[in-house]
Amino acid sequence: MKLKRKSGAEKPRLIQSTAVKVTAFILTILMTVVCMASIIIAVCMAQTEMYTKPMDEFLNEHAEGIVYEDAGEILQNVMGDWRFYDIDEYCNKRNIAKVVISSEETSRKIWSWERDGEYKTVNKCHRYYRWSYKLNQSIDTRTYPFFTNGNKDTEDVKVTICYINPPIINDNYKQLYNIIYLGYSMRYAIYAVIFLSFFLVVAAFVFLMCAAGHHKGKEEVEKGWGTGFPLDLLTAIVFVPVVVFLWPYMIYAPDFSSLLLLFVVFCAWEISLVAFCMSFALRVKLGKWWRNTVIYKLIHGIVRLVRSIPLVWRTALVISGVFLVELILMVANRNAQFEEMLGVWFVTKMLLFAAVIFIAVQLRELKQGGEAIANGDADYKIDNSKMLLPDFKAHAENLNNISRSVNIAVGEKMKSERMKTELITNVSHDIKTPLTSIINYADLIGKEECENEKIIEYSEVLLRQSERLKRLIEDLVEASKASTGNLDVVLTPIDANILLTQAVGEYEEKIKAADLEIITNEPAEPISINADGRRLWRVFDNLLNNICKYAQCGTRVYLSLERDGSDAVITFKNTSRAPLNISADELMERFVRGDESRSTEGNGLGLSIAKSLTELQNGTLSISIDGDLFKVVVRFPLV
Amino acid sequence: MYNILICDDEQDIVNALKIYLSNPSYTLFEAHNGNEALEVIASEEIHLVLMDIMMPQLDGISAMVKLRETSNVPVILLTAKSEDTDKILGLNVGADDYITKPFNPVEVAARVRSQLRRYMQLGGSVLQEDSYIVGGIELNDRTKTVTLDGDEVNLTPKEYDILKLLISNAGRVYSPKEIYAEVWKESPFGSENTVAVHIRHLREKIEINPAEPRYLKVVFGKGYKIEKGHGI
Repeated sequence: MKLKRKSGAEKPRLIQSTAVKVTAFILTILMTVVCMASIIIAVCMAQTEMYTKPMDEFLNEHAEGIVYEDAGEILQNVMGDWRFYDIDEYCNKRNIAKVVISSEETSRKIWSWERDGEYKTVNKCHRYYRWSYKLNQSIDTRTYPFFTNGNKDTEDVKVTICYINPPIINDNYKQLYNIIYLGYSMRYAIYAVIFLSFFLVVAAFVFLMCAAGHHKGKEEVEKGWGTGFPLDLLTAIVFVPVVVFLWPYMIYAPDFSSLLLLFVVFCAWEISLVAFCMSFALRVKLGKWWRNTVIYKLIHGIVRLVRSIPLVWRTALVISGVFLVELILMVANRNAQFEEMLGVWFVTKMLLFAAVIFIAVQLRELKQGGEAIANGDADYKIDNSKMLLPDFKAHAENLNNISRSVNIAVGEKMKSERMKTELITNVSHDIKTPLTSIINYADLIGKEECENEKIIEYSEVLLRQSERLKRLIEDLVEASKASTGNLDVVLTPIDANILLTQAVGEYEEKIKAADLEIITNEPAEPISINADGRRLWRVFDNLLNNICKYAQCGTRVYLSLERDGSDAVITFKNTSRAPLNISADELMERFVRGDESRSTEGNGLGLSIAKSLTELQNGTLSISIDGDLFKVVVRFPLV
Repeated sequence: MYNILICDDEQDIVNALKIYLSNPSYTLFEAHNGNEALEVIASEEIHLVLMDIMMPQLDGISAMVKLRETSNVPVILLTAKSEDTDKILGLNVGADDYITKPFNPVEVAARVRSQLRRYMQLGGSVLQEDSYIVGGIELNDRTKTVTLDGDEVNLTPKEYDILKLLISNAGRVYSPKEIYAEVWKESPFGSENTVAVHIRHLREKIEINPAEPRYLKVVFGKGYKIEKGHGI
């Protein structure tokens, strides 16, 4: 508790501290022991009526043995044949203040003894304890002449012993008094002990449960505390021995010593109990705690086993099981008609069995058909010619209709996609023929000898723009094909390192012309990816072209290749010349360009084509923009 | 004197080509569909055909199939169709070269010259020892010269060694590392970029259109090779 309070300032870390946890653990154990012991004591005290009776009365009752002994000794010494002690000496050694022996019948005082007068003041103070004791002891009056009451031979006497209260002499009586005095002084305080220890136990226990699984420097809950061990097995190990051990004590009433032993055993067991609770708390925190139990695994296995049996066999198995149970019940309660009933029962059950199996077989057909359609096999047809039940037949027909309409829809969609691409391709052919003439004649005009320089300048514009139109048409066809997947892609293992080298080699002069510096970063080990070399080159071509067009002059371009798990990652990084106030997603759209003024060459199809082509080869292409830093990440699965 | 037939249904393109190919040593004929082309070829001695594919009456592919029954005159297909499948079809039925519209006039002229040289010199050229021929490229290892369609090409020693390595193993793909090890005779530690740059320079020297190489091909992600055979 002290430790907890000390480090209370850094509360989040508390549950991670091992020292605090160990303290809480020990506290839990100790306080449980204290609490249990206090409860036992309190119960004992309550049973002996310590709470209801005043202390004097309680002392009266429990001093019976001592009084009996003293009375016997005194009688012996006063009236017996042998006198072992001097009576004064005997009484003075004990806390006896006054002894009166009187006749029981007549209350006639026969003999008395009183301590010297020094204690009278005590007597006056009512500190004397009056103790009456009736002793059914016969005294031979013939031997002791002063017991004369006529014709009777014997007379019952009553020995009244008064003890000094509180005792002043160390004897048995004082010991008893001290114990009872202690009990009485503690009888209410023990409640406080019970409550306090109980509170501590609860607090420390709750803390332990919260702390279970937290470790120093780790935010997450971690495995440990035997969480790998099946829970139900652990429960059995913790609880079964205790039950076995306790069993004899539950049947036979325990005596004091066995109760003590039980208490000790309980304390030892409690350690494992608290540890078990922590393990359980950790399992709950980790989630799905019931999964790591033998019972769960067993049930899970059986369920999986039953599920893995094909539908028809499963049905047969279940129905045979039901029939078997029925048969066993019938055999168990057989009566006079059992023999003749058996035949009829057997025949009806066979018929029922056949019918159920028949239905199951048809259901299987329907199920297979449904699965096939769900998996996209729209050509699947369920054969419903053998289906006798009209409902099943209709259901099969419906499924077939669904697959047919899906088929039609898919076909139409594909047709429309194909037609779109075809349209673009055909239009591009038709545009190219007049474009050829435009380019050629613009070129010819420029070559004509002409005085007017403007004509030459205009023809250059014509030539430049018609060249651009040509590229746009080609890119448009490619973008359309790539996005509809209308391209042949042959995936073969290719060496990404070589591709990178080739790309840099091909682009070296263009990069230099754009006043850029290219820095490549590739691992020494070869990285092999599955791709179509030509198509992948087109991706690189587009990306490097973009870099040449849009990167800020005088900056560096970074090209890196690395292995990331089961992927090869190729990264292109450059600094954009124009501010990129546009989102990465928008840049990927067709005809969107980084520079809003659209003053540079290019048509905005490059990235879109690169992305489509990458995806056709089972790769991914993503763009990220961070200020002026433009980054393209191309990922391909490794071979 | 070479007789060249230009066949296109678009008169403007025919006229433009006529201007570009106007050369004292060329006599130009024109046709506007496949049938006309076949007629001209039957009546005149034609040394080269430039033919469009999409034409009325008889298209370029069909005309070429018929032409190949009787003649092995070089045919350059000239078309707006730019798909790979179209190119492959054209070459498979007997075309010698393929130019897509819109074309670069300089490239057309170069290809015409190249095809004519090869066609006219084919009979005369004798395969010498230590020389390798792929398409219009001839590498003579004895004289250490390289000719392209008969014209000598100036190569640096490294470029020559690379070309020799590739041409003597035509069809085989060499990775940049292998090329470096073979040509530089050094361990290729991070020097692959040098190879790529040399290859590009070499390509600029031996290809009419370096962007669409016919001989020295880049096999992306694997390496480089010289195409076996006539090399288109």
